[in-house]
Amino acid sequence: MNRGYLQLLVLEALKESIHCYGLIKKLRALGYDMVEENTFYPLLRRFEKNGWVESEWLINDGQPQKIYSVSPLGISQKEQLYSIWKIQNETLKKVMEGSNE
Amino acid sequence: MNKVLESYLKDIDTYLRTCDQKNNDDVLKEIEYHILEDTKITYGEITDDGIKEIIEKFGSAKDTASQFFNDLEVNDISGKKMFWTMVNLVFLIHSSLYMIMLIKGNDIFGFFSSFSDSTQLLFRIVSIFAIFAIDVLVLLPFALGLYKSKRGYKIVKIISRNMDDFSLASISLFRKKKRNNYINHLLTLSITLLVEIIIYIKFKTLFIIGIIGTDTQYLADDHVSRILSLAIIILTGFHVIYYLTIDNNNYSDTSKVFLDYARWIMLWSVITTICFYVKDKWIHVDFIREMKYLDIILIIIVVLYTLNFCKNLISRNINYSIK
Repeated sequence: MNRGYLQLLVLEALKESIHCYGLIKKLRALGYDMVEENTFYPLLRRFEKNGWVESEWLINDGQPQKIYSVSPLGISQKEQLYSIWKIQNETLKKVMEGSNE
Repeated sequence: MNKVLESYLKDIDTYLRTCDQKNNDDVLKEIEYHILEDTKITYGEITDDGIKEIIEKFGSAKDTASQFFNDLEVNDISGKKMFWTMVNLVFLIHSSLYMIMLIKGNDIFGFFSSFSDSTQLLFRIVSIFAIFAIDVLVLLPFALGLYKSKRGYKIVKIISRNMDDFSLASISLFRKKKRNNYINHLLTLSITLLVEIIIYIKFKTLFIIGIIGTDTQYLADDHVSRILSLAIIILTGFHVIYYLTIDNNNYSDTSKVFLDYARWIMLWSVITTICFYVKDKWIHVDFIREMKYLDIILIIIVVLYTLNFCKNLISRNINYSIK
């Protein structure tokens, strides 16, 4: 699994503030089920450490929830990852077209 | 809390014990929420079987915790740091061997004769600095080579993805103690300090080598032993104050180095003093001559101290923050 792709996906999904469980459900609902659920928690920790996401604890129905949202640094990281992904995608397309000819 | 979930979270906590406890609590709270919420949504209510199913889907405790610890990274250690690490390791090995030889009755530097008892003892104690100086001198050519090459030395270490105070967590020897050990340690230190003060007030020295019957007390009570006893009390006192002022058992590197070295020199001084009095002063007393177990205990202490010292030395020098 391409780690950059997962990062891009998560940063995009965190445009709206959401807790980790909600994020997993959101990605699953969109058809993304390539990584295990327990992968997302350390991933978000790392994002937080890198300053790509911000978080705060909220109490909802008596349950504490850690809510994440993408930070300005995370947005620029996402844009960078997206441009890399586009280049990779185009290169792959060209290689595949070349091999089909 | 549901017992199955509680046991699962406890297992994760055990695997994550090397990390910062506050971060662990946050991780556990998030996972708890996930499992409960998913069970509720999937099965309509929270049941043992539901939770078991969801946990199985989520991943085993070991696997979940390992997600936080599976990066391998190669780090650079500078030539200067490498040199001092080498000096420390060589010094530890040499001084430990020297201490063991001292315990066994060898006198490499020839302090047996020609001085008064106090001077002889003092020379023996300060000889540890001579060992250190010799090691630095012997390793100097090696240091010049290191500085000249100006290259970093590669050390492969396992890093945490998110915990910045973590090093070698997957190796149990290097695991940090949990927070509740802080209270135990503080209590032990305080009692030690109290006992030391009481003994000093009663005997004017901490070195009670042996007491026989009712009228013979064997005390190392010359000037050197008294000063050494006071130094030990001050060091214990400093340690207690240090523990009281730090937050959640977080050591700074400088304090750690200072305490490690101070403890090492104290251990050296204590063992030297005990050996000096046991081997030289009361060699005519049969019961002390037969005290072979004392040698064994002292050697065990030296070995354990050396191991602990090496452990701290290594973990300190390769504790990097995540890049």
